Amino acid sequence: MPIVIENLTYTYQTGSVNAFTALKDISLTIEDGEFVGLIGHTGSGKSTLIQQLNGLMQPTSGRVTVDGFDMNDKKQRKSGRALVGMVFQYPDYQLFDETVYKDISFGPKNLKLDEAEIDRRVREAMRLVGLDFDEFAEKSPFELSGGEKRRTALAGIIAMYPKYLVLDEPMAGLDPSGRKAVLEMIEGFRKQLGCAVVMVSHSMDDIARSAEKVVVLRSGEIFKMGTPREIFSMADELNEMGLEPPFAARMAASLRRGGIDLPHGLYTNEALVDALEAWKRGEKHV
Amino acid sequence: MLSIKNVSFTYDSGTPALENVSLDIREGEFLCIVGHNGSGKSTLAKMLNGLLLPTEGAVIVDGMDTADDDRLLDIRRRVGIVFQNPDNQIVTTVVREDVAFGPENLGIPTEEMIVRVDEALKSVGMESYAESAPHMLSGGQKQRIAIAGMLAMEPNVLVLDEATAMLDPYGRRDILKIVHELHEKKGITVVMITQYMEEALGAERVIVMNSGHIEMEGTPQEVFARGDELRKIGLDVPAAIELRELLKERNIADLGNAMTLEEISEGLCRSLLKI
Amino acid sequence: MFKDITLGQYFPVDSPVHRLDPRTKLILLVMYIVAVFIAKDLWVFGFIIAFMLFMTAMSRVPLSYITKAIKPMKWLLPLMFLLNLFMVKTGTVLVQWQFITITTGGVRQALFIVLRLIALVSGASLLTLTTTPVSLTEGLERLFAPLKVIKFPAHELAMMMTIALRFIPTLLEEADKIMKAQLARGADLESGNVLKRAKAMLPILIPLFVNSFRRAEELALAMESRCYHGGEGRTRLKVLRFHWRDLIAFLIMAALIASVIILQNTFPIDHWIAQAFKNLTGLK
Repeated sequence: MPIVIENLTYTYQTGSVNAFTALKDISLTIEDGEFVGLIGHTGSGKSTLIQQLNGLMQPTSGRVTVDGFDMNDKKQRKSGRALVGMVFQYPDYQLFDETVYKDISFGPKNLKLDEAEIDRRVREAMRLVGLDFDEFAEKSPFELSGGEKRRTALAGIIAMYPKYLVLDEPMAGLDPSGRKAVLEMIEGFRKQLGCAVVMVSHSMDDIARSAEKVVVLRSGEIFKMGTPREIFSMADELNEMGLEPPFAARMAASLRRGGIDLPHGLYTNEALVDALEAWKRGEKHV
Repeated sequence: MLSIKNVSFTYDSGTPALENVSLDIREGEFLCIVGHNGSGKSTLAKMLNGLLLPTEGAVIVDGMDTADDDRLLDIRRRVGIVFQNPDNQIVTTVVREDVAFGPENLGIPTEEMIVRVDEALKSVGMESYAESAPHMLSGGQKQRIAIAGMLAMEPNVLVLDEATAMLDPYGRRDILKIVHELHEKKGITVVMITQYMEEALGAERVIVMNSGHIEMEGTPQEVFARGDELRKIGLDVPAAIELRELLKERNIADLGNAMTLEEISEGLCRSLLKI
Repeated sequence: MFKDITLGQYFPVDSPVHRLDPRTKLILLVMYIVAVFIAKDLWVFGFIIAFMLFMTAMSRVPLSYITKAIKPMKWLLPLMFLLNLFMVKTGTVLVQWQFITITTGGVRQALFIVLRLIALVSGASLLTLTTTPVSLTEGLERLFAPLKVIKFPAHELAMMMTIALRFIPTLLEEADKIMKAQLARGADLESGNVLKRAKAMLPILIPLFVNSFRRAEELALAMESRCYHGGEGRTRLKVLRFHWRDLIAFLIMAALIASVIILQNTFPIDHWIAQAFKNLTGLK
């Protein structure tokens, strides 16, 4: 069963002079096992939207159901929230316990699992994020490097075996190799745990690599929704919105404008080069 | 004007962060220092104005040694540093007063201070936010204020220590544009420390740091030609360079030294459409 | 959202009171407190409160904001009233029933205390309603600056207050984010007894503290980079200058003190009433 968002509207400070509608009439379904990329300018409503997915915020109007649990209902919300794992941008918001082991077990403990199951899950989660158990289990999370902290924070959510994994800018502030490692890890969980992934990212290149469905938010509304191919064909429009489409998509748009008529939906350098090669061959044959 | 001489640095915990680093920063240049997390680039930045002192070697700013306590204010006035977290470098509750914080510490007379503050805010395009509360601004705007705070001290060198790392692409582009403008219009020396390879494309010289030492040095052209070596130390080449190399490899077009989207697109159109 | 909260209770309008120098306002408050404390006749309080109403009107702050400031004392005021009513045993006895004795002195003292508290709180809140926390800090720093001779850290205290004011919204926002991150991990903050709930706050408090320490460290580096080296040799962007209106304000406040003294000595109405009451009832 999926997460279903129906006509969701959310207004901050309803009724006051500062009332601000952050989300307008959003309808969206997140299917089982799907990888959804969520993009939008700062202030487009991305953060507000993902907080609706596990009931941290409730719609002003409309409805969110997680596997049939109505997130407007206080009792059902708890069951729904247990299915949705949420990783926030900075691991520093989450790490608190004495050891990495204890910190990762915080979530599973809250799920009221038994000791043996918790232990099994913590070990499994640490393995999945690439933290060596013997080396890290007894370390304080505050002594870790930035990358290790992020892994620990991820493991803390993974150990809850979420059916839906929601990530807010999971790669922010990491260097290129760190970014790649985290993205590969996320793809890894998805395969091993079969969970759906909703990822918010400013980096369109990362979204282009992994997402099956891309949702573009603009001032609280769904501006466009589709496959990466469809979305990144609109490189110029995205650029205008202050979003930076993948380099290859921008390049393809620029070349098209220059008179090289390339097919739509190119958003990786490799695909672009293939298309250029094909185009060149085609030209020569004429 | 700023020279780092055989500098080594070891943190109290015993981890060595810099090993025998020597580097001269020339007046008016735009230098970019890249490296992965933990390569020592931020430690190096904190050496430049005496926030950290070398365990071995020396850092000399305009003839003054950063180890000399009496010259520290003079050194810090000349070398302004903008840090990563925009929130943690704004001190007061009104933008204008925050920009004045440095000049206030230097004891600049009020009349001159007003001129400097207004000028600095204008240079970063934030004059209309002079009376705003910093916590209501976006990350990019906060970094602009931080830059203005440095400019108001009239430094010779502006160091950006991963100042764009916490910004969205929009804010990042914004800061990059402003820094280039300051470099071109005011001739200010820029040392930009970053992990975004794209940001190094506009620099005059690029230094690549790896595990506490300088791994490569050269123009962006020279450095990014060594893509395989860069990848080996956890870095990347900008997508534009990657594409250019791919095009050459596959015999589609040889675009020489093109580095930007515009250059490559133009070159490709010219070569493929034969115009 | 926490971002929108206003700090202190500053009421942002332009008025002659708002425009006064913060130092003036601080000194005026002290003078006002003196006036309140030397007032020893009940009816003079009527005069002081009329003065307060006049100042409030001048400041264009709605009266409801002043009453809002008095509201938190809704338990304290009746308590003080009753305590004084029953404890003070001077003047004529009005009621005597078992162990309860109410005297004219008690009634007077009870009213007196309540009015005094109201007068003090409304005066202080008029100050915070018409002065931003920032300029209050500035005013305090400069008023106490001469005390540096006796090693009073006026500048340091003011700097701390400024930084606190700057970071309160940031920390509130961060606390909100941390709370959400832990709620998302299934943290239960609502059920259980006090002890259990206090323990459940740890996952929020620890990251908040750890982050604050890191912030403090980074801020210190940033301040050092901007040549901060204490208050010595510092100049200021904003120069506070006394204007004519400050002088006028001082004169008005001095007039209040003088009037209080003169009025209660020339017309001791309380005393007259007490006398008349005594004569009328013939009680002792």
